[in-house]
Amino acid sequence: MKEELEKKSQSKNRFEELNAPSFLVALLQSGTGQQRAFRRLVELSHGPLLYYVRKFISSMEEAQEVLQEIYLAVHKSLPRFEGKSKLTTWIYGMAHNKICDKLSDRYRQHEEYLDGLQPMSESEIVAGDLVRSSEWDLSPDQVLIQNDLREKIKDAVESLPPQAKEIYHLRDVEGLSGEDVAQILGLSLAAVRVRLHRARNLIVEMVQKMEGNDSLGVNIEKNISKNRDDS
Amino acid sequence: MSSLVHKVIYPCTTLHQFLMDYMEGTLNPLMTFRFNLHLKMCSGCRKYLELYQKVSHAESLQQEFEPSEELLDATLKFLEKEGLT
Repeated sequence: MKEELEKKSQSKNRFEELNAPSFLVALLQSGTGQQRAFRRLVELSHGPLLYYVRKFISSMEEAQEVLQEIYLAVHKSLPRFEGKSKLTTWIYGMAHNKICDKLSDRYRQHEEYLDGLQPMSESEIVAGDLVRSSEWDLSPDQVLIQNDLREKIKDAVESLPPQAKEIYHLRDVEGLSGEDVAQILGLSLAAVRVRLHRARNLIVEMVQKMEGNDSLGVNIEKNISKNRDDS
Repeated sequence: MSSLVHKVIYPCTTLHQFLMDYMEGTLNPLMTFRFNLHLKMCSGCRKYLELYQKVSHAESLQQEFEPSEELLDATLKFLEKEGLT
């Protein structure tokens, strides 16, 4: 499991290479240098983007088409890239819009399905979260999800509404920062946090139901009463 | 005594509401104390928090990032035709 995670981490780090200033310079130049850089962009981003697209479009053929459209859009819009966000965040934003377009075509008759999926708009990046550990934090080993639980979480994620699924995927699976997710989805950081929290709670509740234990929200009052009786 | 305990210890619903802030350490010290007090007394919420933490660290749900060579080649060929690579 750890080796698998390390391998994925390496792939992800390669994707992050796209954010190097020298790469951006190469990408924004003209001629064969730019073509080479764009080819590199495709090579490094193809895996993460395809995985992202397939969270919403299960057909590999359609996902591949969307991916091609994403790259066309990225190439076309590159001259307008202002560097206000990381290049990878900007590319995810393009991908988000193309996925919205595709789903919009497919589910035009079912508007409620698209509820909440909004094309990206310009948004400010808000200052970072304060992250501190707390008393009940799990150790890294404890955080590693066992296979059976992982399958249950995966099933639960698949059942989420599209918007919740997308936020959860970007933030907790891809590990993007809250600011990046906010920018990709054109939401405020506060909205991302609220929706992410809701998505996590939905997943937890679904997993608990799968495990036949949907009453884990044990009433503290019972414990208090018990303690009172004991004393 | 009981009513005092009720006032000090959060109910389960409040705990669930602030899980994310608790995990990120953004609750103030008093809230954190009350949160921890609740967790010490409530096994259900401890389990809920544990699952919530695991759900929040789901990097292991990622499938292999590397696409097949065949798919990558197809994309590169398409972009080549468009004159982009």
